Amino acid sequence: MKITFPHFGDAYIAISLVCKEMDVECVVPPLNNIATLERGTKYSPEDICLPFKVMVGNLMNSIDNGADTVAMVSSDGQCRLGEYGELLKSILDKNGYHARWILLDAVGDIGIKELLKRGESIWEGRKKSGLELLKALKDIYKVIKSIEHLEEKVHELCGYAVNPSDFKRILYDCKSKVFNSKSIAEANTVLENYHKKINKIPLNREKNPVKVVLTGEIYSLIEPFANQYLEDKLIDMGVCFSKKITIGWWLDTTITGHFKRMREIKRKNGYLNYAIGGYAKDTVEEVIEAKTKDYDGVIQLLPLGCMPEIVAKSIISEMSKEIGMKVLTIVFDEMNGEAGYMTRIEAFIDMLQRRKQYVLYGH
Amino acid sequence: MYYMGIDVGSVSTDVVLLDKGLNVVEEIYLKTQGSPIQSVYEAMKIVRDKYDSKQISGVGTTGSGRMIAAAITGADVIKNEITTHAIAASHTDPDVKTILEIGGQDSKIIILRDGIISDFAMNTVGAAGTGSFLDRQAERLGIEIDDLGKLALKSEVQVRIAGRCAVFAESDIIHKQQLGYSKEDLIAGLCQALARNFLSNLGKGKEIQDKIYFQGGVAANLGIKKAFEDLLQKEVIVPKHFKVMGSVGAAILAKEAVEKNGGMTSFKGFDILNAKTHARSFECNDCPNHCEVVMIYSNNQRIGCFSDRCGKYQNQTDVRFKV
Repeated sequence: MKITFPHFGDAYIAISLVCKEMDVECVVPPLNNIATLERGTKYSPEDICLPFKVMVGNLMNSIDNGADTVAMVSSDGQCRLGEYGELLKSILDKNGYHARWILLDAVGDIGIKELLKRGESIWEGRKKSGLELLKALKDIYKVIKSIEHLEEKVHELCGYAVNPSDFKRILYDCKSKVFNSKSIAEANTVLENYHKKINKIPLNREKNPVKVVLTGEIYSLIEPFANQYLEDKLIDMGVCFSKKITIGWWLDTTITGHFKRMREIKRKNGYLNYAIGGYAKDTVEEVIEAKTKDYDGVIQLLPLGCMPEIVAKSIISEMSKEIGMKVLTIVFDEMNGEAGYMTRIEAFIDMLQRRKQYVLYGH
Repeated sequence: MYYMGIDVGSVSTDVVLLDKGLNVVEEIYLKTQGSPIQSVYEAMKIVRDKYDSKQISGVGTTGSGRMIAAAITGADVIKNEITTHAIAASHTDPDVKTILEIGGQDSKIIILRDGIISDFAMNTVGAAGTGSFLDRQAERLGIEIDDLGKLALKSEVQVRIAGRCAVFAESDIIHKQQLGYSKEDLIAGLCQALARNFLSNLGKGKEIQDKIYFQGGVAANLGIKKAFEDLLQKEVIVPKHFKVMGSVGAAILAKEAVEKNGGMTSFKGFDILNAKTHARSFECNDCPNHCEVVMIYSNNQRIGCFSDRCGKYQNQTDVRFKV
């Protein structure tokens, strides 16, 4: 049995490490690029959202490379992700890409027993005990958190760096070393080293960088290909930013912090009081939070046709005026040309910077 | 002592020279015609015939071809066109609060408060409402693009044309033309549709306050200016240098940048015009990103490079995005 999965940011690093630990063969799909998207687009419904198209490409590439089992999460959320699993299977089957499918649906749909059963079936080819599997999963959670902690530091500090690209390079180095580690333990040692390394990058504390919040649709935020490597660009431009929605955050809200999440969902914010699917409510709340935490602006990302984020966008456009927060919404689609996105992002950052100077120094 | 601003757009390449007091002394407007390198060269040659390298104290580039132009000339500042348009407008008149800009390939609205951008929007998808679309329609109706505006003003009857999308608009125009509407009315309808589309798409939720500047190549079209005035019920001003506002802004920023840098410019001088410059692109296969890397060569020496995500090629040259 060779398992595969669609790309979702750095998830492939974590999954392949657990597979190594469990002696389970896994096929990591080639990293997303324009060829992946082209392949996926060819077989996808025309109006489906961008992540779906990329995933079709991922899975086809993996099955070509010998994978025979697909594992992925599904959800009951009121967004198209709910249809992804079934639709992907149907499209791949129709085009002669057959595989066994393990869909990790939400607990509410299939019950905890069924979910655990399906979850365990991913690892059924393992040569280790169930206890060891549990330990590996616990350990990999720590690795994920550690990578994200490192990223957080980079995002927080890159605006102060003498040469911001240093941070970008160190992050890429680190991820590639973690991915190539032979065990989770080795990955942890690598990460410890990089946590130290990152503290040694020369900073200039006198800089006054622009600080923004990245929010929006989860796939666009987590998968760099889906946002045209926006984070790299922000680092290069010396802009500090924070991003709440990460893989670790997702794990926390759906698994470990379930009850806390229920409370969060019930909390009213005065602008969008109900969870309408996806993470639209979170997006709205993050804009409010950005104001209280003194950020200069918010960038909202979404793929074309994302229902929940479109609703959030219309609410934000009025709300941002009321609370006095600058928000830039960027819609990503198949268009690969960077010039259009870059112009908007640069202009937005420029605007924030000039306002900042104006307010602080009264030019 | 002159500051040069270069705006390499999809349709036109504009170069301006500003004197010390930031007055426009030279204004060059050329068609890009798909080859930005060539058009930058042409424009530079015109400047060289009148000035020598030492007279140029700073260079700024803007527009979608700003990176290429910067690589060729050695610019002191590289800025996006939204910022440069705003800078130029608020320099021309500090009271400007709204800028409507329609260029060849895109259109934008910029809201200024106290001379600082407070909001902006750029058209996202579709070519309706841009200069290229007008060009095409003028050609189809057999009219010179420069006469479009004058003809529109002669219209007596309002023809309603769908402005949402270039394809819809075109079929609407053809349909109404076959019904016997006059060219003048069709063009006036087209201008109305374009202005309406602009305001409902880009102007949505924005406070459009006086003074309103209308700039970009399309501002030459009196029909659209009038359509904007009718729809907004406000006066719309077309500034004197409306065609080259982007490059004016770039030149002003170049002055700022050079002064910050202690008066040193990185302008390479007009000698570059003797060198042969060409671009080469290839797909880098070193990692799964498969970036389409573009390199600019001058006399077989690499002077610029873009689109490599890891920065491996860019690090070997000196042109990079700077905020």
